[in-house]
Amino acid sequence: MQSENTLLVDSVTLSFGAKQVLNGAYITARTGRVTGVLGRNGTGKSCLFKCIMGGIKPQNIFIRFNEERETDYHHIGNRIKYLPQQVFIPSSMTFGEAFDLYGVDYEGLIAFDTKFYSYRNRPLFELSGGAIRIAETYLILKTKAEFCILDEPFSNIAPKYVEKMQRLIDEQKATKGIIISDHLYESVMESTDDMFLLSDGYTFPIKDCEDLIRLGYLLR
Amino acid sequence: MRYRQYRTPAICIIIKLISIPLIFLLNNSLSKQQDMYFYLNLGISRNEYHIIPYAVDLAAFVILMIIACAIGNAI
Repeated sequence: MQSENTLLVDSVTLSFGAKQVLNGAYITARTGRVTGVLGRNGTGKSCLFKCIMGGIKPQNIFIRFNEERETDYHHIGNRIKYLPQQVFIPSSMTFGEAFDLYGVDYEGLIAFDTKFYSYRNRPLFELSGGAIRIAETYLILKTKAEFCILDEPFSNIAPKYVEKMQRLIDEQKATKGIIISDHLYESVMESTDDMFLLSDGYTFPIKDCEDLIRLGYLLR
Repeated sequence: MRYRQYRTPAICIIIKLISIPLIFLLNNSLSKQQDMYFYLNLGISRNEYHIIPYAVDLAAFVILMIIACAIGNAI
């Protein structure tokens, strides 16, 4: 694993029947930078991430790491960690088991927030949705990987934790490339170095709020 | 006893029938769609994720059949 990595995802085409969701979408990320992906509901942000991870099979996708000629696309989870919108840790599993499997020190989560001390050996179905979300986001950010993709990491958590997560993202970007998507666009813009907007299946690079208004993401 | 001759095959059939809900339970617990990304993040491919439950089910089915045959033979 080299110290600085780049990820290029290009020409993503995805349709469900007659509905064209992605039409040649692209995204780039690199170590030391946070990439934000914005878009209205149903524009294909989550689909794009799922296509990258292999959860959805697109009609076309091109993925390149650094300048490598071949990518082991089938085992991409070794290089990219993905936080989906819904709970992804099996409900019968405990945080302790999940952290052990991912090779992340649970003590770090306790240091992040002491309330997780008593949650270590409790199955997920006994815990609140917010606590699960915080622990899952922490787990993905702390797992060894070249890149991580966070799909709505700030949704359904208290403002205090949004700030804490932003600090953690800032800390973790030193060693990995991070891609974030969330509807709390102000929090996303605070955390990101590069921004993209997904609209009508295409990707548009964004510089500021003016671009978001021009492309119809914001009203004013 | 009039029905004694049917006892052994009846027990074997009951044991084999038990394997059906057990296999459904295994399949259900191993192939929950929302858990998929937990395993993809560990480096397992999507094809492996879908094949593993069937492989485990097949192994469980073979073991259950062997146990059922052994009990049948013992009876």
